[in-house]
Amino acid sequence: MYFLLPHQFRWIWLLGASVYFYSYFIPYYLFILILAIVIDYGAGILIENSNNKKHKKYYLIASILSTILLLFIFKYYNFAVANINHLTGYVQNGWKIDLLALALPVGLSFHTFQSLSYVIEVYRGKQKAERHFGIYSLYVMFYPQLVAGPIERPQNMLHQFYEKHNFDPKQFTMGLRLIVWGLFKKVVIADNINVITNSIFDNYGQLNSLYLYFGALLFSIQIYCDFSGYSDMALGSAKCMGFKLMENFNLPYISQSIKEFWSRWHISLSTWFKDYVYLPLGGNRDGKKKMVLNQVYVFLISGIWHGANWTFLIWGALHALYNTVGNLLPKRILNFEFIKNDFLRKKLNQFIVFNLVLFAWIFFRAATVTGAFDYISNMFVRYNFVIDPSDSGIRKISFYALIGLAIFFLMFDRNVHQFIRKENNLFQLKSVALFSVLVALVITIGFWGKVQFIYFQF
Amino acid sequence: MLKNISLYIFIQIVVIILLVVALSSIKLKGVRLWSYFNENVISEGGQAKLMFNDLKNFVPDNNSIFVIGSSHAYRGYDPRVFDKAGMKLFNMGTSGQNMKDSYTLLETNADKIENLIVDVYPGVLQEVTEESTLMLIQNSDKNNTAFAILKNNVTINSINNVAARLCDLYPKALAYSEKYIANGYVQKDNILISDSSAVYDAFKPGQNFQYLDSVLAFSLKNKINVCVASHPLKWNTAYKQYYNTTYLPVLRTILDKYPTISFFDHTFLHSNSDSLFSDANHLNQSGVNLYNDHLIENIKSKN
Repeated sequence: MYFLLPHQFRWIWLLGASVYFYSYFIPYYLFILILAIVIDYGAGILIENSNNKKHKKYYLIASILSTILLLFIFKYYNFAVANINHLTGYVQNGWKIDLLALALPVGLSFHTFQSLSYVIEVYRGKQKAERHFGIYSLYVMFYPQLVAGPIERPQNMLHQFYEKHNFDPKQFTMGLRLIVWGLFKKVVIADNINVITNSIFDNYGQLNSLYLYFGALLFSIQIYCDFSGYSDMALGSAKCMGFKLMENFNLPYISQSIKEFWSRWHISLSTWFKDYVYLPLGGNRDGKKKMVLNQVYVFLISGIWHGANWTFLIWGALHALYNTVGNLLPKRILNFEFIKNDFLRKKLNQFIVFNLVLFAWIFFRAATVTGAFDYISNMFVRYNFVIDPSDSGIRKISFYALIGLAIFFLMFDRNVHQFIRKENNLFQLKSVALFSVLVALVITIGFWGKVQFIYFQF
Repeated sequence: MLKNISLYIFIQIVVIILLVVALSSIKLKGVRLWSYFNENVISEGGQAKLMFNDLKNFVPDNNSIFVIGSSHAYRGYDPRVFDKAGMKLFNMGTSGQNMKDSYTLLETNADKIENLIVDVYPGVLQEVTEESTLMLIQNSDKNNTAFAILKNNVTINSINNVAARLCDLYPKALAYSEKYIANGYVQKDNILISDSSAVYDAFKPGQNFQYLDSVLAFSLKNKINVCVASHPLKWNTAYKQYYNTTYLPVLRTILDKYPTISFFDHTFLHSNSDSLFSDANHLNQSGVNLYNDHLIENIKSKN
């Protein structure tokens, strides 16, 4: 349909599709999104039109504050109030502030950050203010990446809405392949694993070390497949229409350091924090101590960005700790330079980084901080390494199968990831064989129930 | 390009068929490999399988009564009790049967049915779940019934279950461990031990509710003598209030459309007698005997 429309009307079609897509979740939250769009659209024009530097700054601050206020009301207000009530409860019994009965709009943190990057770039003079309200709305609402990213920059996206995209069978097929690969990761791996991780995280009190370790291992794979699966589908559906979105993941679990992990995981968010928080704080310009401190701030903000819960803050703090240790330890110790075999050294680094990340995911997945600590303590105290024989045959075999699939995925993800993105192999036998098997697996063993994307809640 | 796409589609279809046949026919401990990898592909067997086997051989007469509903139905209406009263009963209840599936069962067996009891309770009128649909697809006696159920519920899970049914080269039903009695009934003898009560989420009339309407309308249109019945449940005071003030008024909005259809509400018939229940939702055999006698009297006095 998109390609059948004359070029000048395509943005209307895309905007209509995006509005429909967003309204599908909670329709009236569309007004919140429109409010954010209006504020930042206006701020962008005011900043560009103003000749006074001070005024430009005021408009920028007003725009940032109003966006943060929206985020605060819907995402952090109840968290803050619950903590204040909890603290004051000890001081003055009976006094408390009421919570707001508000559900978090889907993907609020994503589109507000995308909107913020526009205003900041206009302020910095790196992006011209967008005068076409429809196109600007589309920049914030473009449905493939509206609710879970990638968080795009105006320099990459806005001009694409003006360009005429002709139907290109090669691009279209490439897009479909990315969609299939993303769908495979989501419904075959992540959603099937979800059944097991839910059961393990809900019953951690009765399970032994082996189960609990596998629970965390499976969750590590689940969250990667869930989120990167969504990103692949977003990239794929945009590509089908001729749009190019930024890559959000680049094989994070092969990282050999935490710093490398963050250059491969949720790239659009990591670079957002780097450009708009870390560098403005001073980056590495004022010595190592200040650099480490700036990175700690970024990790803590990143933690709370994910969700209004202490578990996310601790998850961010853990990554800050890993990163700080990585920065402070001498390179020869950190990189195991005493091991002469390169392959062994690389694998050891990957194993350690993966397990550090896995450990932090326990806080990300747990419902409460106490739950996370209990899970971890059970993991180390109940050192019984036997799969429970009382489990039913189906459950036991599914469990083994999923662990096998997770390990297989960890080992071969790199090859598939690169193969899928190659442009010259569309109808090669290897390609046809891989995709026909992937499609068949998606249809037959995909979990076709109601499992929302994990990152939709952010 | 077109040639390549056609070739790809052909290969894709072949791969899917081969995978489906392998997943359906290879079995571990009698369970299809498919069920190990996909919990939404249901195994063949259980009460539904035995019920459909009996249904195939059931010869109805003018006085035969059919029952549709969930486990409340197949554990709550005993053909032996009705037999003593000179009534031939067939229980078409299956686990978690929603009204949408009840409607399909009614539609596909309409030629046999002269008299019908529709068993209702708050849970069955809430959301349509897939559990019952997938189980009926796997166990129905005829492929036609499976296709009719699929037609009303086109989802990937129901398509997969039809495929598993059709592509199983060595079909064999799993054994059933409960006490199955001929014509669809399952007997429970234990007595409720814990002090529990039936619990349901807040009532939200959904798709199921509209299908109750369709079941009643279809029955009248096809000249089937139909009545609606609620069998006894173990309630606490809070749920008694919920039932009377929230659920019943909504149920009445449909029942009032059909003044000729009787509603036999036995929900609170023996809600204080733990000894008549096997659990909070189901009667044991003593409870079923008492309830069925009561219902038979109601039906007779109505006629």
